[in-house]
Amino acid sequence: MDCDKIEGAEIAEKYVGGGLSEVEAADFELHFLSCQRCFERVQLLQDMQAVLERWPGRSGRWVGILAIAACLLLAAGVTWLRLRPASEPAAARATPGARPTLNLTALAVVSPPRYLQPRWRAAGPTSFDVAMLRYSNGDFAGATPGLLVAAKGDPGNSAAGFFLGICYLMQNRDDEAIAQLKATIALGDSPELEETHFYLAKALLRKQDVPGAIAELRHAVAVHGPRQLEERNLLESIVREARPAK
Amino acid sequence: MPRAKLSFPPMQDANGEESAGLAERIFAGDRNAEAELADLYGPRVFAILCARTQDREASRDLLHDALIGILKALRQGELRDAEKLPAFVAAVARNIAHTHLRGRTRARLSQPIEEAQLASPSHGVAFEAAEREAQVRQALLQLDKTDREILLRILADGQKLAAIARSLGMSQEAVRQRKSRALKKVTEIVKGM
Repeated sequence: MDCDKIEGAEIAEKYVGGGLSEVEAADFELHFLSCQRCFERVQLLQDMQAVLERWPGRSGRWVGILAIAACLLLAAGVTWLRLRPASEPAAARATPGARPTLNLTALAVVSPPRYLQPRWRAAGPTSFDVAMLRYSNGDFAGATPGLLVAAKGDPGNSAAGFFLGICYLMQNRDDEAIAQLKATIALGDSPELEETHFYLAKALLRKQDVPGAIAELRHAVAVHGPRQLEERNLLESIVREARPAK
Repeated sequence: MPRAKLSFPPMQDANGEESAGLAERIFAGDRNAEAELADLYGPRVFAILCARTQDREASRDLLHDALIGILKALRQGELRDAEKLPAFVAAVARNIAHTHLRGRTRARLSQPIEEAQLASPSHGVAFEAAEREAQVRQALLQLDKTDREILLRILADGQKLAAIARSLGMSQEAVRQRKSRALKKVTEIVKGM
């Protein structure tokens, strides 16, 4: 059996879903330890599984009610968009909560910024270092308490403030993320300033605060940092999405 | 009905020689080789742990234990045949997962390896998983709603094709085709990111 046949027999799907016998699973594991193609298939399926398990409205009896509420909100938003004055600029017209669209949801997807651990430190690890080890491990909830301690212990520590905001964002604690990122921006110029504006824009997009997101992206672009192109593209996409339907 | 026995091709062992070399270098005390081993096998061990435990969060912690266990054994020369490194890696991952499932207290493998040095091997793996999830989420948003629903029922709810076909009023073959198409589309979108 070659990799095409493995794919045809949906072995990877069965493996991810726990549908193989112990012997079959062990054999397949030994195979994908050396086969990049089959491993990538397994990895993608597992990533999808992880995302779909947390998919909004996945199950439960409230799903129907929430779906109806979402439809009503969407309909209200669309009606409002169609009835508003035509001379007003599109972006300025977009008010928080007015137009929750699928595409804006996609634009609000957040990928956490990487943190590079310093290779060497003269002193022992601080609470920030320990928290960032957890952060680097994808454990955003575990990193939060340590970052809180670091941020409170040194209110001027923009890195602690910034990554604390990111941790909130990754836990879908959007209001806390917004407050934290705004507080970090209020510290003034810092190495994290550009990214703080960028992620604040993402957080505001999640709250469907389109004008707020646009304003933050403009601040981010003005820093002329390494994310500039990404910020410009996102800004254009948001403005395009916020444009009224013809 | 008796199940047809599955067989998989022998390892092409693109990594075979490399694996043997790695095991030997780790035994000789080469710290760079340890980082290479974590890069090479970390993501695969994570996949095994996720599949075996069906618990991605727990797998993040278990990955750390698995990599420590593998490195500790290699440092101490416990792997007699260096060419069997992939099989050894898989066995350690399975054991860690089974121990977790049996609810035993996890034995922390701390000595003689310093935690600080071994805190790093699993970092990138879980972090990259979080990054990939963000991409996959974006790709899933671009799918047709019914296609996404089919994937959700198969991958997240573990439903069979027949049950999905019944509840969606489709033939089983139609569900299978939509699923394959959707998987292909997600793969293409993610690869294009």
